[in-house]
Amino acid sequence: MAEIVLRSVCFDYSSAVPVFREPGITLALPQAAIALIGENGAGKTTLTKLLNGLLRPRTGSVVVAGTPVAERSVAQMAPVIGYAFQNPDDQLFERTVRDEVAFGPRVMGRPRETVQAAVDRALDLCGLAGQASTHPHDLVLAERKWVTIASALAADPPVVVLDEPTLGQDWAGRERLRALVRALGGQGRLVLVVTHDIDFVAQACDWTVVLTRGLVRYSGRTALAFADEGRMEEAGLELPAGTRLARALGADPAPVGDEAFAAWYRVRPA
Amino acid sequence: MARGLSLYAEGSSPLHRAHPLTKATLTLCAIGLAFILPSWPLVLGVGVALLSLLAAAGVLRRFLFVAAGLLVPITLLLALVQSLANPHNQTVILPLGPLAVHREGLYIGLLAALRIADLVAATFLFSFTTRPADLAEALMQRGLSPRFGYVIQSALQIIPQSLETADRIRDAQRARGLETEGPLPRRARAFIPLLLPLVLSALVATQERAMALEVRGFGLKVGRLARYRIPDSLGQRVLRWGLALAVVAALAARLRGWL
Repeated sequence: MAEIVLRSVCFDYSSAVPVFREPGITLALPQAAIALIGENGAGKTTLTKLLNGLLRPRTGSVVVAGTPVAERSVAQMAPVIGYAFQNPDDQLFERTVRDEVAFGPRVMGRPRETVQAAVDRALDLCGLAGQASTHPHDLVLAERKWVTIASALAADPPVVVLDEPTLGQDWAGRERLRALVRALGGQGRLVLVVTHDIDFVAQACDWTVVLTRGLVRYSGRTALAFADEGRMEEAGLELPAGTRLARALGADPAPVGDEAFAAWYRVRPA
Repeated sequence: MARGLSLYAEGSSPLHRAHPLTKATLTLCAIGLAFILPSWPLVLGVGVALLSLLAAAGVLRRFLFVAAGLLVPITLLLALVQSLANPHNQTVILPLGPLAVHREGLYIGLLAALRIADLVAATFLFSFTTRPADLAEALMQRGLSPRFGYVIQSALQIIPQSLETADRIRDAQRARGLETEGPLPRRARAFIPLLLPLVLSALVATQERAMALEVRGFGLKVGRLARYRIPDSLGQRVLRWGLALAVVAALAARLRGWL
């Protein structure tokens, strides 16, 4: 079952700045770890904001986890779709990490025990269990970003959007993120990762959507997303390191992801 | 598109191209004359001159739109209060029970409103045709300390920037389930989550701005060059002095009782 369905969605910020022109975006996304990639200004963040009603389409419909977005306010969409924005400083305001993460489910009116349990789980998943009573602004940027990710998870939504989560993350943070994205995708959630980090896409996401100048150029298995080099070039994207290396070594089609590269390398023709 | 605090309207009229100091002088002198000149035909004359300048700059319609909301209530209020309660009131033109509308007060009230209209027109004439950055630049080229210039420019820039940040914060909190619309108690609850990130980010931004300025040599005690000089002309210089003299002359005439 498709978790996110967009039908003929047209959108522009003003008539001078069209983003999704006629005939509009039509897209169905499954429950999986999904990467949304494309050049700067392709419309990635705009697309994600249409999913929770922060932006409203000019024409067309958006349905997220069975909920027609047009009929709900942004706040009413929050239990359905968790959103971790790029800049954590736009949302942090509580005195402790725990209160910050609990804010979402609390304003949704969930019972205290449910909130406690959900917050503990989210803090654990995001490696913040030891920082629960720290002031969010005493954390470094990468950790503050984790607070926003935990905040998005604490409401236990079926769909999670992570906007540029790898920015500023060190290796350990990246590994944690990879595990998290994989785990969420495996739990039957849809986790949508907006990113420019193509290696992360190859490692963590099963499904990839390529957006170029407001058009969906590809939506399907990540393994096949990088097969068409022309399409990637048009989207202003490089190939994952492993894929590039395999291609240089003569692989066609080139493998995507570390395991696939290793498998190909072991049996490659001499 | 950034929402600006500035009222500047893009244009290419002679007024748009005039030196900011010329326009500043024009505005200050028009306000001075409006309050110095004693009789309504003269004050009205200043207003008509300002309106024709607004028309020449292509911003008359915009001015009328903004001014109507501002000036109509002020005029009504002044006319009402003065005509009912000015101590010089003698001639009744309309009895209203225990109160009465008086000719003297009505005249005083309308003259005061006319002066305020001149003031508003002069101020908008300046704001509509002058980029704030150009004014600060012009003042710095006339020897204003760059620190003050920066204060002027940043004050004008920080508010639109804060509005944008406030929008992002609002989006982020709504996406977490916070209702920001609806009845008052609900909106009051949304106040802290919306305000605190704004204050914190403003404080952080101030520190970063200060450091960014310092590493670019803002504090150096050396002479500066201007990237571009704002063009001035002999004609404008003469006009500025002429306007200033007119104000002085009007003031002298008023004090001598010639007007």
